Amino acid sequence: MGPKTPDPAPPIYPIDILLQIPARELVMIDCAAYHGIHRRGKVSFLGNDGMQTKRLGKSAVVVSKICMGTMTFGNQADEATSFRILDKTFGSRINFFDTVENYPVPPSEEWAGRTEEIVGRWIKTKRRDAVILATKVCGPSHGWLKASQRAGMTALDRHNIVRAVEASLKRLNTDYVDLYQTHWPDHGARYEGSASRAR
Amino acid sequence: MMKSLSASEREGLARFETIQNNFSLINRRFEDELAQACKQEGVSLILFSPLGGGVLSGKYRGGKTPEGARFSNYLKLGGRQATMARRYVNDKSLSSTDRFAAIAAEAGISVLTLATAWSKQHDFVASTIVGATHEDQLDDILAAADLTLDAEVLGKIDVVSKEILYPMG
Repeated sequence: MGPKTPDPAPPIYPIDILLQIPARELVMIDCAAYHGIHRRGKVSFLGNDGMQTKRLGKSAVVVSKICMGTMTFGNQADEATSFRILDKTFGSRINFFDTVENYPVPPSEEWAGRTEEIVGRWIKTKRRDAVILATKVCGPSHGWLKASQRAGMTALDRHNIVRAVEASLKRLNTDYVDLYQTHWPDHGARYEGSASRAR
Repeated sequence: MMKSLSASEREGLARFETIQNNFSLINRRFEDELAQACKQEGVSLILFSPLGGGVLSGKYRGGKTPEGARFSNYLKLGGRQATMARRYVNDKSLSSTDRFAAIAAEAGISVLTLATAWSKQHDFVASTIVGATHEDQLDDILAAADLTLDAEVLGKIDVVSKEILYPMG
């Protein structure tokens, strides 16, 4: 593989919608196909030949059938161990990694964000395009379910989603995520209202 | 989920393409209703806890609370964390674990491989989220990457699931 030419900066991540967003699908609207055809038109199956893959919903995003979770990183697994886990899975034809803005578990205000920081330092050791990265915004706190981000005053509205995604991108050392999810839903809010508020 | 999908379609917005829920040999609740909705609407399950939070490894068998294990820690913390730990570690989940371990042994694979392979083998599942606290734990999990369980093994698993319903409540 020749030297990597920098990709043009992708357009700003989409925040005009809530929920689990195949973000790259939206930033790559002028691209005929998704993984399998690289941005610059070269066939590149992410360097992971033969991995079992599956499409996410009806989106253009295709992922390995095993996804490495990260909730132990920064607590039960220290950074060096986390890197060894990530390297081993990535070297085993797994391209899909999932995190959350408030990991590691158990949730605490002091530790929130450490996991994304570790993933962010690791991702710099890889080609960003070869990694499918998923993260999440915390839903609203209620009862015992108290978010450790934003002083616990989380909600799935534009204000919180923008702040969450900006902070996650910074910790993750990247300018986009491939899948953006809600860590838990807001069962009280009208979907229609949420969607138009977020526009 | 259905209402959100309708709202997205009506207003021309992006929609939920995926749902992330707990799904494993000791928690098959997703199959009851959501799986059907997901299949119909083309929404993929990205599942977590394919090993039932590590319970299926057998490390909590016989009331053991191994050092450094998540639910050992949670039981010490008490409160909400302990409640969560007991949802995963209980008589029904531990009896199921024994039965699944026997099925895996007969098939000549680790129970972790069995549980991971089983979780991947559903048409509504896109990806199985696995966890680890040490890279050595990954070997049995990664052995499931290219494995497809045969009908005989799946049948034995279904018998256990029917006899010990909803181990996680």
